Amino acid sequence: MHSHSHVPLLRRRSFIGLGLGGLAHLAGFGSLPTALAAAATPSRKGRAKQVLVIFEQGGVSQIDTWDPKPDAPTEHRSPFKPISTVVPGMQFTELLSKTAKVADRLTVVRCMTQPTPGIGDSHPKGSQYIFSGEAPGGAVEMPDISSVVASILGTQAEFLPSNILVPGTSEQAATSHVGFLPPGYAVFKTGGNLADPKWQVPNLGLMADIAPERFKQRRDLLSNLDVGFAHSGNVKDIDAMHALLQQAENMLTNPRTREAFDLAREPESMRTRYGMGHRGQCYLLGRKLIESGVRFVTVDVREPRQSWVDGKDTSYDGGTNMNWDHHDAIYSTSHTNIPNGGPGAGRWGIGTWPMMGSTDQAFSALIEDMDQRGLLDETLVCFVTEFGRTPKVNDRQGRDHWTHSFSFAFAGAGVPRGQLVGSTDRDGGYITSSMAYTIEDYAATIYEKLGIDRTKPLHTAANRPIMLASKGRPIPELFV
Amino acid sequence: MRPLHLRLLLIGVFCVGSVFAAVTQRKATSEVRLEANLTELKFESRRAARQLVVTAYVDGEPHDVTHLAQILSSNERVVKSDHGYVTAAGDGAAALTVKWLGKTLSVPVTVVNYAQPDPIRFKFETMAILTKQSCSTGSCHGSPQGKAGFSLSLFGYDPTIDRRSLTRDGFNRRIDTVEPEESLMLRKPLMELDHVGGKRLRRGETPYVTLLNWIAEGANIDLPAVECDHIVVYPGPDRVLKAPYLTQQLSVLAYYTDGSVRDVSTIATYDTSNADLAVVDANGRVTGKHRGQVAISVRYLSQVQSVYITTIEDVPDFAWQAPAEVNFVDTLVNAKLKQLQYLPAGTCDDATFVRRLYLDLTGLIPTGEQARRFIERKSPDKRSQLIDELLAGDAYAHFWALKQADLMRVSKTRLKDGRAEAFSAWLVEAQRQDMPYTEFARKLLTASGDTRQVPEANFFLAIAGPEERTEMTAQLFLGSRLECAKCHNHPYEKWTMKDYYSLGAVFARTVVDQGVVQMASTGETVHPVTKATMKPWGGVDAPDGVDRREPFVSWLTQPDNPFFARVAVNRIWAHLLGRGIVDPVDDFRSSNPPANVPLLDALAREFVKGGYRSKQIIRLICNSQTYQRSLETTAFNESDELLFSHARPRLLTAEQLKDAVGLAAGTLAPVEALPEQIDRNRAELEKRRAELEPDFAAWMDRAAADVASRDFWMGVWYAVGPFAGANRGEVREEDFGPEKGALDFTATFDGGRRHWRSHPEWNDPEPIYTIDCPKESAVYLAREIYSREARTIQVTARGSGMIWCNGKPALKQALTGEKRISIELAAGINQLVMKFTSRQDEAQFRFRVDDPKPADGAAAARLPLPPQVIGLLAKSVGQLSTDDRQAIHEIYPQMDEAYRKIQARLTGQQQHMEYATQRPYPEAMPFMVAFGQPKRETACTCERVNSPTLLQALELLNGTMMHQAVQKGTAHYASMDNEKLIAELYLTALSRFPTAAERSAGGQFLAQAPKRDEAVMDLLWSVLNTREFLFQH
Repeated sequence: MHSHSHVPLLRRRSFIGLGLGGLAHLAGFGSLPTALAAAATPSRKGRAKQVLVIFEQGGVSQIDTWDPKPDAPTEHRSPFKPISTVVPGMQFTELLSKTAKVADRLTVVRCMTQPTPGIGDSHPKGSQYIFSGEAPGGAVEMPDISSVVASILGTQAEFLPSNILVPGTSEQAATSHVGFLPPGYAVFKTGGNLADPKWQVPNLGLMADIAPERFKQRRDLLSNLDVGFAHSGNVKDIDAMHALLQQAENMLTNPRTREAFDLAREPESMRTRYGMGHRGQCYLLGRKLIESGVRFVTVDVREPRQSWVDGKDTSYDGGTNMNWDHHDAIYSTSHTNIPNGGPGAGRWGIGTWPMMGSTDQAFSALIEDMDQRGLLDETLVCFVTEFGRTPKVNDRQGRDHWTHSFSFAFAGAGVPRGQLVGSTDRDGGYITSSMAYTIEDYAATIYEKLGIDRTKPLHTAANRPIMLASKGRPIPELFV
Repeated sequence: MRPLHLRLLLIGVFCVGSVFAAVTQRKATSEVRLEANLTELKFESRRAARQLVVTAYVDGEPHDVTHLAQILSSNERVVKSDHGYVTAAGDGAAALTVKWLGKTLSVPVTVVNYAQPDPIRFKFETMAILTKQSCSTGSCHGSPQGKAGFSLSLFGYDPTIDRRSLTRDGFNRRIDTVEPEESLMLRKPLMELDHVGGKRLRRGETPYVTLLNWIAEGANIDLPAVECDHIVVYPGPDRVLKAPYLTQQLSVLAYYTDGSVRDVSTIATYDTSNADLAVVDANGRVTGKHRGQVAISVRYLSQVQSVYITTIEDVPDFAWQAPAEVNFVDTLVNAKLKQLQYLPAGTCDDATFVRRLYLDLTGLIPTGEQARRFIERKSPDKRSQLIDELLAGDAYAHFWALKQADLMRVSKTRLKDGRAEAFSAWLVEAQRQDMPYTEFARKLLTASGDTRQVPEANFFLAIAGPEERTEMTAQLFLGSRLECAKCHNHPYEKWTMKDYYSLGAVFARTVVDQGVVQMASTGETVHPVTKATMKPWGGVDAPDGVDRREPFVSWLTQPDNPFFARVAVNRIWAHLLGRGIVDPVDDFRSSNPPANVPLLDALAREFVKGGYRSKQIIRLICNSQTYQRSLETTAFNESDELLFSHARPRLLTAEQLKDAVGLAAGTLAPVEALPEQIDRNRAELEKRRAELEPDFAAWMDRAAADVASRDFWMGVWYAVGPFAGANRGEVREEDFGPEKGALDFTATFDGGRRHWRSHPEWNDPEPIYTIDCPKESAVYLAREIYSREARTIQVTARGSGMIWCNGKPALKQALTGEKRISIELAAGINQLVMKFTSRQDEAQFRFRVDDPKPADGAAAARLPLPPQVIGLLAKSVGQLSTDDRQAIHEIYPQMDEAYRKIQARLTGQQQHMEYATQRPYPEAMPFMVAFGQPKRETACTCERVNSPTLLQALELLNGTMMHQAVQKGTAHYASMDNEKLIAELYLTALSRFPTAAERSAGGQFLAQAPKRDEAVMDLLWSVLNTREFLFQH
């Protein structure tokens, strides 16, 4: 519809000199018309059209989840027993008992590592590493993988942003970056607590006191008044703004925009399947947005201290930052605040509902649901964390940061079903398999799956060529 | 375009013949003279060669005929010529004869030493070829990781890396000196073996032959101490190509530090700045394709030179005509337009001018009244008058200071405790006074002292470290992006790592210690490749004890500095015309050609002549017809985006737009109202102070009694540091002084260099304060805590380090993060000391007493006294020194809420806080972010993104800022009758009267609406969303 009005612009000779930045500003977020998106059709190798990243932030303990270590010394062993999954020979701990039933749709990679110790060994740096796929601290601040993807592939759904973070907190302001790309490719955050029955996506609906009918009247008046000027002289930016205003109008008034975010449109049984807390609803929204055609969705959730579970107010006492940074009392059955404790306070034990309980429920539901809907055909799903945790339990009954080995899980977009990649030693501390993969390899995998040509550099404003995931190589086992 | 295409095709087919025909037709009437780039040739080696460049002056106009002329050797056994590329063939003497259009030129040649070997030199030839064939670019083997296991230094910045890579790594297979043709470094780029980088070498061409011979000769990798000193490109600095002469052969000579000279035309690297307009081949032959200007940059090793090539083509029916020229700006802009056959646009109308000028000079749109007055004024020089009037105003100073503050990263996060405000005020004052730019640069770059007292010294606080300062200074005053040269030689410019680190050496001894900018006695920068200690830039050999910045600034600000004045006037030009003569404005390099060299030079000369005063240049430009050109284009200038033939619409900046919305909606008062408001508030403040004064003595007594009766109070925080150590562990362990003995806030440490400073601003227990604490150093914080009785208090403390109370450790283990801790207090005054260390360059700090509450449970009865007053009063009134009393007297009016309110209002007005275009530091809000307000994190003006995005569209149609402005603005307009309302709205928002169509559309809308308020609001919303409002035009 409206968007086609600016396609001819791209053919204007005056436009050629603008390079990527020029194309990009027109594209805005989520605005690239399909005509252009088609130019970047995934190659034969790439099977993904969309990406859903589940980023569980803080450093999920690999030993307590994907990589059980029953033979570790008793004092350092996880209390959670290994269990069989539906895939022969693949075991998880009992914290993933529901996920164990969908293991036949996953490839679990147990040989993830950060190659340069100390770069991503903090949460802000580690999170930035995950978001951008590049070790932070280089000469140029790298954009997030999702922003790069949005800038290259554009969108499939014009009425939605092409790069969405569910829900996103102020913490990501420092770790998620649009870098040298135009600001329009910055990630769109939904914000809020999705378990709150009153939750609505902000900024993508009309102001409460402007009814759709009135908005339409305004727009009619505006189009009556906004004439003449536009046709004088050199009007590249002016035309671009016109097209963008029309697209924004579409986003604000198209009922499909709201529907994409409207969790209430899902049957109760579906919502319960994911878990009626914040995490479950975030994962569910992730699926909904993929289904609506959003190019890149990242889910980065932490259960709020004051939350809703099954529609009821629930308080996780002592939980001030419910990520996976279990320096203290990792096996606590409630909060991890201990006398003279360290930085692990403010969380809940890994085995509790707001932590692995809700994660196992939500992730298994997500995989099964997406598979049933056929969404795994062309969506790459990645379950990632910035690093793992020490094989030894420390003197505060917690586990500290561990960058030598950790686990990721992948599904969809041609990722082999029921595959185990890599192995670690008896304690889960060091990789014993011949292969080991890095966060750069993870980034390269995403680009490769999407058919993005990594031999073509992006350019900064100073025209410095930037190669994508230059130190990484796609994880071969995900392309079998 | 099309005719030229056809012509090029013809040239391709008939080549020399057709050009010859085209030229011979003129022969009868034309004066022709031949000239070569050399008069004789002496070859002293078997591999000696020279590129002959033959110029024919036809009626005085130079044209390159190197590839058209006949060049014959008198003895092919001595010398040969291949289209002017002359090589030795044997010892002896001979001559080259050049013939063109019946004219003849003779060049005598002698060749000696032909029998002597002349091996290929790795450093000067092999290396050059690796760059020329693109092997060492960033996307190939020059990337930090190399490619396919083979890594070269980027653009050959480090020959030692490259020789190791070529001869040692890769199992020595890259070079095979026994069977040279089997070497991988030849077979892969020949594509005889798979090579992801594609075909890079061809047998028979110079690069291949040179590499092959180098290997066959034994792949010598000596790195002699000789360097290439400079290169000379012929012809220079510019040439014009016009059909039928559309090519230009270049020749490149390299001059070495041992006095030798070699022709490097075939191994130099050539690039064009715009391949649509002109291309250049591997041997330096330029071909013009379309009308326009390009820079052909020539790189040889780390040397770069550019030649500016202008291609001219005749535009059918073009006939020069131009509005009257006002000053030299028009003369020079028009000369370029005429040469390239574009027509200048006419002059814009008054309404457009008044809005354009206000936005450019003050950042604000004119009020309706200002617009009306200007449009209706009859005086013929009213435009000049308005320019003068605005330049003299306050808003101009604030707005142009904001542009500088953007570059200098003035923000509250970097410059705390009033520093951002003070630095901004200094920048505003510099603009107001029109401080000579030389003086501005000197004051800024040589600033020293306490950043709380010397505002401009904050330049060094905002920009920490010699490297950032190097990049900033280069960007600001040299207009160059030197940061590339931090890690490798600049790819398109002569900036080298040597330049980067010698500029770094200028600032290597400028340190900021406890907020004080001072000179250290030591501090050097070391070139990371050569490991040499760098001399400060400009060859200045500053002896110890001399501020190295002084000689640098003298170099920078001398009138013949090639950058300083040009960069300054170019920034001004870009602000006013929307695009720099050199664009981007911080990318001056020979390979980025100015759109109009004479114009830039003339503006720079004028700037120097006028004492480096900005206002004079602004006045000159704004008065020109060029600045006042209309947006309207014709077929004769619509394709011009570079030469300033017409105005270009610009989306208002974030700040301009926010203020424009406020002014148009009537929610923001005109900035002209400020002086009166300021005067009124100042008077009010004085009045209030006077009212409070009589009560001072009584208040002191009350306050003293209050303090004396307290069971618990805490004094003001003091801090001392940072104290540096070798590593964090050592810093943690070492006592730098404050850990032992009784606290004495007048004590000094570190040989008298450090002393306690009070921090009354760390008064609120809730926020987390950030203290400057460099890595591997410690900072101490201390305060007095009084308790009537011995007791244990519960404290929430955040930080990283130790805590002592009364000289004894208060914690078993060091504090990390935020914790609740218990501190045992003795009866009376306790001395609390906290020691901070940090992994980053700053530490977080918080100290909140949870029990007892600070006011000891009787908060309501207590006077709200700040800690520094409490601390002083605790000494009891009788013992107060005059200074202490004076200090309390200063603070006293602040105890009064009414006084504080007036003061806050006054400060806000003085700082133009309500105006986004005028404020001392940016206001973070989604609207501003969407419209590209810079975060002030880098010096690059490209941080500001001004092209439209979808986020902006959403903010406009549905954003909170817009919504609220429109809502509030409705009241302002609703009281007017429809006709007046529409006229007023258009005049205020768009600085013009509404057209008949607009009057009727708006009138109809208002008349038909059921709810008038809503209709007014909707009309306001609509006008503020027209593109005419959103853009400057």
